[in-house]
Amino acid sequence: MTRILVVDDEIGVCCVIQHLLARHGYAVTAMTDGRAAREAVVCGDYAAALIDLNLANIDGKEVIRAARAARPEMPIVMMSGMVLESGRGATDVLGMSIKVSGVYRLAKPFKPKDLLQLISEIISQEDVPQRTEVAATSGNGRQLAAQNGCKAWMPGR
Amino acid sequence: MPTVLIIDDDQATRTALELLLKKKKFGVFLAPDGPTGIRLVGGVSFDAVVIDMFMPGMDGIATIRELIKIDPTVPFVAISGYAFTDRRQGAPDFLGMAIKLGATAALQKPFDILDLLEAVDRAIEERQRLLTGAQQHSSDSSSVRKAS
Repeated sequence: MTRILVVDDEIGVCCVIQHLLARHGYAVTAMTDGRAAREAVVCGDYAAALIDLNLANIDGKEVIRAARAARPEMPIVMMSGMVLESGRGATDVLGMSIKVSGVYRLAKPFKPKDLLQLISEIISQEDVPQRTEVAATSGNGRQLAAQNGCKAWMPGR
Repeated sequence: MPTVLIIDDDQATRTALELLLKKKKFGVFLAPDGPTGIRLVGGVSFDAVVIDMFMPGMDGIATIRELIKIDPTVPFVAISGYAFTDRRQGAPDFLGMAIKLGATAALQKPFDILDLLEAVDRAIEERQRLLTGAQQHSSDSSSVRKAS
């Protein structure tokens, strides 16, 4: 069974994601604590990790950095609700991270079917070695784009 | 599988609605109060939200206002034990206010389960129309930009 790590400081969101993924046959480990997550991404054998940027103890980006260093092959889905249009004086956290290689982005609030589709695509991509990355495609309200070497995936709203 | 969030402080109502909706193959998630529901909607975009109007702390109307700020397309069905005519008895017409805020339906407890299922179905359809319309508008706009 494919193991997936979910890290979000909001326990309710963790539960929803865990429920959705478990229904589709994934074994999910969910945690809200950043420090525990940092240890888990290093020690655990996960096929993918979903990590919220806004964690209570330590920055989600720190968890992602630890994961990239220890398990560079593990795909990571970076989640954040702080996706704002540029020019409004606010920081586009996910946009700023566009150059982080091997990291997918998922803007909150996301539709469950978008989450499931993304996970399905990530897992199937990882199962096929040296698969050519899709440059850009769209459909069913989603956008999959590779920009600056980043596998970026943003659901349409 | 469409997902429905139920926000209600009454555990018996939450459980009854959960069983009913799960039987109809909905993915059902529960929140015992407004702030919990708001945090969930901040993370996940549900296909419909069923929300009680009278809850301790943050009431249904205040919760709906916050939900709309987070997700303007979120469809919701308001439920309440108070009737529309309660204004004469000094109680605010919360269901009427919910309709003004854009509720797909406002049901007075005890309601017919078929009415609730119909309202949830309608809420999901409305959301699909909104999302499809937004995508169409976005597609039209990009066509115009490309043309110019």
